[in-house]
Amino acid sequence: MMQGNVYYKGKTTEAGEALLLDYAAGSLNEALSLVVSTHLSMSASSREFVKQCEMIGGELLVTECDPVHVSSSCLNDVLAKIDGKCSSSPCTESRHHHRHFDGIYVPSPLAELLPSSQGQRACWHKIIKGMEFIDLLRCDKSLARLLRMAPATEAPSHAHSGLEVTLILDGAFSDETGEYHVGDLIVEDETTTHTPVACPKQGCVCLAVTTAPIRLTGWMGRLINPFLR
Amino acid sequence: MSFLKTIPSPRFSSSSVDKDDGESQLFIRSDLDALLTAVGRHKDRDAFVKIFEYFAPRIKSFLMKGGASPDQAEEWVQDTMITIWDRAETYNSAHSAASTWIFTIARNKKIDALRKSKYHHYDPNDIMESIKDDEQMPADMRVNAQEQEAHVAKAIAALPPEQADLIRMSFFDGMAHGDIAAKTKLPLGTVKSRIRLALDRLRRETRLTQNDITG
Repeated sequence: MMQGNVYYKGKTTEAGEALLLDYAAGSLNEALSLVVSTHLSMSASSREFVKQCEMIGGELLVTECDPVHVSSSCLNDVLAKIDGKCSSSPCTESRHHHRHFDGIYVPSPLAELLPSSQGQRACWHKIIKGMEFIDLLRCDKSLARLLRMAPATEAPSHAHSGLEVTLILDGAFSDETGEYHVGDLIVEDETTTHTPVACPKQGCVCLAVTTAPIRLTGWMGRLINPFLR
Repeated sequence: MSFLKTIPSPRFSSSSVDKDDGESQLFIRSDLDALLTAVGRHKDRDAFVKIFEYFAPRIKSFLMKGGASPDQAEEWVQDTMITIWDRAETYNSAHSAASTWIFTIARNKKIDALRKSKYHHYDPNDIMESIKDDEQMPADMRVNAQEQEAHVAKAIAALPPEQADLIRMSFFDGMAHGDIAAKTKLPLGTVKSRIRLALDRLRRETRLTQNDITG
């Protein structure tokens, strides 16, 4: 279970892998690419799957992209540029390393966006008792945020208008369909409703991306709806 | 150099891949891998020219399918080829076929050039260690990248057109599955299930390969 899996729920059995395919094809928006790439830093099996998708891409490049004439000056320009380079070209320095943030182990795609990497203090905002968030980015209608739940906290029951993609960074949570652990990517869509409960011992920290506002389904949810968007 | 120009271009629509054809392709594909390896190890300029002659017209085609004008595409082909030159030393033919590796560079160029928002990538050199250890497959379980590529090629060629079309839209038009549903006016559930069927088929092919090797 440590490995980190993509879980499928409700009628969306293909949603997780379709997301990995979209990542490999380069068609995700910024927020979704953030959660998927961070998951990939944690999941060997998903990396393997993405690699297979990239193999499909390579295959399509070779067999489906009918060669289009490239002017002779194009090759000459490229050769002139590479001849002008010094032999030791900078290539694979990894500048960003995963590190700890508020005691959580955070892989690099996410670490770059965290407040402390931008010289600010982490500032968690309270939603309900035991549940806090930090907004990381918004793009199109998507929102990426960190969520922290104290042990045994129950999140408001909610439904989804678009996708909700959740990556567990620390601890665990369970809902009607099972228990999820560090590295797991849970994909919900408009067909599912759930009530996550944080692990009674460790609580839970996750990265959650929604592509449209979630709809709270409980009575308490309606009261706090404004805080969620 | 001339052999590169004779590589057959099978289409999705061909219902089956002739065995001999498949094998000759495998042979020629491994030449591409060797050329790219030579660029990486020795900064082999002649090998690079061959890689350029084979891939540049295809990358241009790929970028134009994504919406670039011919002039833009050619400019970005230059950038892509220079990146290939710069990064070739990180290419390892045991891990991936040249076409897979070059696709990822062309895709990243397309993302940078055609999409306005940032795209996050994971860094293969920066993955969580506890998980990295689990990943180590025994050597005899590892599937040779070239063989796996040949199986993927066969599986793609055998996909029913309605599944292949969706995979194509995903890779060429940069459309996420939700966008595809909107454009094709197919119900989202239909798009998802076709993509799932296509992926299942491709995965089955890969598993078959692993059984062949180990079993």
